[in-house]
Amino acid sequence: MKIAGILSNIANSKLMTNHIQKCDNPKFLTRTLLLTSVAKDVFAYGLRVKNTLENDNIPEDKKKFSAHMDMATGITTALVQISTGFLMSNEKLQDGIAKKLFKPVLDDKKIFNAAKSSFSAISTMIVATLFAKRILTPLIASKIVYKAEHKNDNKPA
Amino acid sequence: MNINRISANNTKPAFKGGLAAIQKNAAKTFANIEGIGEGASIAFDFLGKAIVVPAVIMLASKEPVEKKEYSALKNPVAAIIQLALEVPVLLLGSKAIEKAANKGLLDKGQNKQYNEKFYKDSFTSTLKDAAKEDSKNAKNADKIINAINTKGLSRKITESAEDLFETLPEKSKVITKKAFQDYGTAHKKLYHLQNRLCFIAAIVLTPLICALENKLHPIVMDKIYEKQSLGIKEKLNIIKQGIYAAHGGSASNHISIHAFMNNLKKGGAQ
Repeated sequence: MKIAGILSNIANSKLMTNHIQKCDNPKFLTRTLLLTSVAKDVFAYGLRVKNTLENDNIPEDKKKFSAHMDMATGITTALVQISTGFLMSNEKLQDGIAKKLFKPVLDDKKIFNAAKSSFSAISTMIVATLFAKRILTPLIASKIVYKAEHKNDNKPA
Repeated sequence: MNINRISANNTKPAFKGGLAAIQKNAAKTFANIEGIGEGASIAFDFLGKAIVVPAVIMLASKEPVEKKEYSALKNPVAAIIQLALEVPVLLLGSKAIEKAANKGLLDKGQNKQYNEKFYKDSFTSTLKDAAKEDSKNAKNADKIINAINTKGLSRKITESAEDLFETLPEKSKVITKKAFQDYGTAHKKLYHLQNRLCFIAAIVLTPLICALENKLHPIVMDKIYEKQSLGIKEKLNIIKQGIYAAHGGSASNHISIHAFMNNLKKGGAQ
């Protein structure tokens, strides 16, 4: 029952209780979902960088490039996902989109608000995890690494 | 009679009505979506890796098609392995937390904020008591309780319950509404707790998931490409038969061609 005790302490801590109370707010909930997704990515990339640097089977020059690539991708994915996700979950933007998209149910506040909060979460996740993470990030990260790798090319030896 | 005017008058409202109906249905569909949490996050990540990345590689990369295909195929395979490792963590973790909460293991003294079962039992007994005076209400209350017991709390059940509350006597209505509100709050809190604890579990298990993924990925890719190498063997056999026929199938030719074929195979495998 030790695990249950630990879980109970975490679940009833001030931090968790306050956090869960705030989850009633759709904007907060969407952004929490976004940040947890980003946190998992950043942790995984950090782990990859560490593993690459500690792997003696990779040649030194390839090791450096691979670690730089993972580090650049980890940092870029965090920045790009957070910025696009926060922009997409912006209340004014979502309000404008929802009012146009769900115009016929504007008077039915219950359906309108429920539809708006679901749409906000889904659209934010699509923009952040599909568009920003999978299309923008590789494009930006590869450019950053290319520049970093070739920054000394034009300097006289 | 102006036919043009009639057709114009008939088309415009019909189109408007059609668009409004689509918008209305879209709103209802989105309104009915429940439980956007860690599960949705895993699903979107899977879609990105399994569909968007291969599509981007195939469309944007200037590498030769074979190289592109290998790179593109690597991602859906990795996505499936990741999904197979992450989903059990989420499902088993959520189930374990739900059981612990409903058994009262997460209660802290009188604080039962995650104990959904406690609030559900409290609501169902309150509803039964409140509805027993009227046979129609009692029947509807039974229906709602059965639905809650089999499917759990959903938006549809909430709507039916709210309709029923309106038909109850004023005093019972207030008590039942309060019991239902407490049940709903415990349900939501437990759901958010499950998501956050599963997120913590996913972070803790990330090194293990990454290690398993790294081990499984080459094995699965080898299995997939084994089939392609069989195709190469068949092609080589056809070439072999062609060369035999060209050289009349003598024994000396047979040996030299064998050596040639082996070299070709080695080269092809690289």
